Amino acid sequence: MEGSRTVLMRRQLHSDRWSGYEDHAGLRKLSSVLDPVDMRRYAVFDGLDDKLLQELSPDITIADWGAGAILFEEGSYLDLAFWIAHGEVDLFLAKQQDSPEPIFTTRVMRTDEVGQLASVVQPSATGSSPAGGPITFLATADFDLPVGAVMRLRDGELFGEIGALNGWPQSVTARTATPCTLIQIRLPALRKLRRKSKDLRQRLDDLYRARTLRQHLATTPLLRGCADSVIEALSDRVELVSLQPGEPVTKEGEPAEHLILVRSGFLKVTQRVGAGEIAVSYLSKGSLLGEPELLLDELDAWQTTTTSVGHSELVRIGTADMLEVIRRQPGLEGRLWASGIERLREVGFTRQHPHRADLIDFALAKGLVQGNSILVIDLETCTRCDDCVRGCASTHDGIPRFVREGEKYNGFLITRACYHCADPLCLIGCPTGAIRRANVGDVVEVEPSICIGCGTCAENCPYDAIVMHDLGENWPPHALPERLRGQPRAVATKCDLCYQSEAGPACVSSCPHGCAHRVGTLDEFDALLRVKALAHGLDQERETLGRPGK
Amino acid sequence: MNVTSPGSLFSRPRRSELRTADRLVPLVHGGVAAISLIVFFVSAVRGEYTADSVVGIAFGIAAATALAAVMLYSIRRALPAVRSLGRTRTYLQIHIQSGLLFLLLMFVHSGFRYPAGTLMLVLWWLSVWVVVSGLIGLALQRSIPKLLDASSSFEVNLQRIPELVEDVRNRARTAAMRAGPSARAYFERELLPDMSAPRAALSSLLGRARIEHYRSEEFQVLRRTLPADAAPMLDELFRLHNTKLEMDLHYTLQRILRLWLGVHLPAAIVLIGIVGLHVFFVLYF
Repeated sequence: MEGSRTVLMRRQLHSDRWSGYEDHAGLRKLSSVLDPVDMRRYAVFDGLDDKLLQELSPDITIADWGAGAILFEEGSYLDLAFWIAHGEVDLFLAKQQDSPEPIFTTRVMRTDEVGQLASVVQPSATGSSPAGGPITFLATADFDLPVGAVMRLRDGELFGEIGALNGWPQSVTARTATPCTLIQIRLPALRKLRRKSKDLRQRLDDLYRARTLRQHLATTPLLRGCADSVIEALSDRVELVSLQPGEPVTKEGEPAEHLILVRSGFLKVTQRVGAGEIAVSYLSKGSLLGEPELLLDELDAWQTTTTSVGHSELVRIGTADMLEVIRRQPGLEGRLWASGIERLREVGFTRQHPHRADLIDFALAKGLVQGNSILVIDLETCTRCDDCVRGCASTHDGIPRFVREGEKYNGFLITRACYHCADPLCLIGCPTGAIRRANVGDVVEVEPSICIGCGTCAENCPYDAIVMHDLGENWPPHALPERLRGQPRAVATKCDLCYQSEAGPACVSSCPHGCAHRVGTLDEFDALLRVKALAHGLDQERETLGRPGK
Repeated sequence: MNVTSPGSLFSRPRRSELRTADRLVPLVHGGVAAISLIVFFVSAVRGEYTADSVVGIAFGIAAATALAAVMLYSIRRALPAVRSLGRTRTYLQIHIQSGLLFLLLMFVHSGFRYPAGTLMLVLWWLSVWVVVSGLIGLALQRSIPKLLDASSSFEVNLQRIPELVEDVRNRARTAAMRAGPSARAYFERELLPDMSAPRAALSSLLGRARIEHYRSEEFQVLRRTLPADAAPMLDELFRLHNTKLEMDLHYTLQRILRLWLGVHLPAAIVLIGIVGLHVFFVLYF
C-alpha cells in the first residue's frame, strides 16, 4: 500500500493547503498513508470492511491543526469535507460581519413572470441589480447561519460536505477554536462513503435537513413565498437522493410518484421515438421534473426517462405530499403548470427537430451545459486570420487567454476558452484562492499576483481552458511557500471575458468577419446553428428561430 | 430553456449596435456613389467637366478621402488594444466599400478616360490592380472557409501544422512497426515520403478522394498479408494517413488565405504613395 502508484498520484494531485505544511501555518501534523487499523480508531469509519477502508485510504488524511487556523473562507470551493475527531471548530460569516452587502451579490436568482423557473441573472458591469429583487442563490446556502452568529462544532461533527458533494462554494468561514484533529475526506472517498455506508448517508442527509434544506426549499422559485409551516412540513418528508453517473432517475412508462427538484448536477431527459430513444431535454440545478405527471390525472406514469449525467443530488417530493402543499398554497399550481407547459413545449419541439436532440447530446457530453459564456467561431466565415487571438493578447499584456482550437460542431468551433462554468471545477483546491469568481456575473478570473503556478486549476479544468504561462523568471528568495524559492515562475492564464472593459470580450470585437460569438445558453447556440441552417435552406421554420417550443 | 443558465454578459447590446453600423456603412457609400455619378453626368452633359474643374477637383478630393477611409481598417487592426475604436468588423466593411468607392471616384475624377501621362497611367492601373485583387481576396475569404469546413473533420492552426504532422508521422511509424515487417516496409516506402512534411498543393483538395481510395485499396491488399491481430494497427495507420491528408488540405487552403495579401498589400502601399505624390503635384503646381 505504501508504495502504491495510486496513493502517490493522489498525494501529488492534492498538494494543497490541507495536505502540505508549507502552504498553511495552522497545520501541525499530517498523517502518512493510513491502513484500516489506523482508520478504525475513528467512529466515522465504523462498520466499514477492510477492503472499503483500503479503497478510501488514498483520499483520507488525519490532520492536527492549531487553534485559530482558518480552514476555509466563505466563497471557497473545496473538494473535501472535515470530520472532527477531536477539538472544536467555529463557523461564521466573516465577510458579512464586516459589510452589510450580501456575500454573493453577483450570484442572485429571480423568479420570472410566471415565477416557476430559476434563472441566474447577470448584473451589468456597473452593478445594477436585476428586477425582482435579489435573493441569495441556493448554491451558496449550505448553512442557515444568521449574520453575526457563530456556530461551534464539536467532536463527531462533519462540515464542508455539502459544498464538496454539490460543487458549491462554502457559505461560511471555518476556524479552529481549539487545537483540533480533523479527518479530511476528499470527494471520491466522500462519495464512496455515502454510497457504501448507510449510517453515514443517513447522517449526511440529517445534517443537510438540519442545516440547509429548509432554506434551500424556501428559496427555490417553486416554493418561494410559501408559508414557513408548509416548508417545514415538506422538509421533514422529502427524500434526498444522490446519483452516480449514468444512474436512472425515472423510466418512461413506470409509475410517477414524485416531483423531483435538482439540487446539483445535470440530468438527461430522453423519450422513446419509434423503435429508439432521443434526448429531448436536460435538467440542471434548480430544475423541476414531473409537473405534468403530478397535475394531470391522465398521466400516472413517467413520460420521459431521466438519467444522471455525472454525480447529481436531487430532492424527491412524494406526489401526495406535493398535492397537500398545493392544497394549502393554491398559487403553486399555476407555477407548476407554467413550468410543466414549458417542458412539454421543449419536448415537443425537440421531437420535431432532431437537430435539437443531437445538440443536447453533444452539449451534455462536452460540458457545454455548464458554460455561462462559451466562445464559438463560425468556421464557414472564419478566415483563420487570428485577429481574435491577437485582440485577446493585446488586452492581456501580450498573453492570449485562449487557443483557437477545439471541438467542431456543425460548422462551429467550440474554442478552448473558459466556459465560465456554473459549477467551476477549476476553483476547487486552489491553495491560495488566486482563481475565483470576479465581481461580475459568473466570470471566473485568476489573480496573477497570488497565483503560485501549481497548476491545480489547469488540471481540474475538463475543457483545457487554463494554460500555465511561464513568466521567464524565478521566484524571489523571500517567496512563500518556501519551496517555490528559486523555482521557475509560472502563472495560470485564462479568459476573464474582458469584464473590466465596457467594450466586451476582445475576441468578439476584434473579429473582422463577425464569426466569433459568445453563447451563454444552449438556446443561444441553437439560434446560431439555425441561422446557418436557414442560410443553407435546411430549416424553413423562420418564426421559431431561437425559441424552442413557440 | 428550463435551466438556470444566464445569458452572456455583453452579447445583446453589441448585436444591436452591429446591425445599425451594418446598415449605415452601405447607405453612406451608396449615397456618395449615386450623388457623384449624377453630378458627373449632369456636368458632362453640359460639357463643363474636366479633371481640373471645380467639380473634377472635388471628385479627386473625395477619392483621396475614400482611400484614407480604406486605411482605417489597417489602423484598427494595428491597435487591437484600443477597444474604444469600435468593432473591427465595421472597419472591414468600411475598408471594402470605401475601396470600391475610391475606384469609382477615381474613374469619375478622370472623366472615365484612359489616362495619358506615365504617373496617371501607373495610378490608374494600380488602382484597378488593388481593387480587383481585394475583390479576389474577398471572394477567397468567402469561399475557402466554407470549403475548409465542408472538407475537414477537425480544425487546426496553420502555425501548428508542422508540429502536428511530425506527431502524426511518429504515431504512424509506431503503428506500422507494431503491425509487422510488411506494414513497416510499406510505410517506409509508400507513406513516409508523403508524411514527411506538410504539403501545400491543390491535389490535397482536388485529388484527396482519389488518394484516399487508392491507399484504401493498397491497405486492403496489405491486410491480407498480415496476421489478424495486426488489423487494428493497420486501421490506425490508415486513419493517421488520412489525418495527414486533411492537414495538407488545411495547410494549402489556410496558406492561400494568407498569401493573397502578398498580391494586394504591397500594391496598395505603392498606390497610397503615388496618390500622395499626385496630390502633392496638383497642390504644388
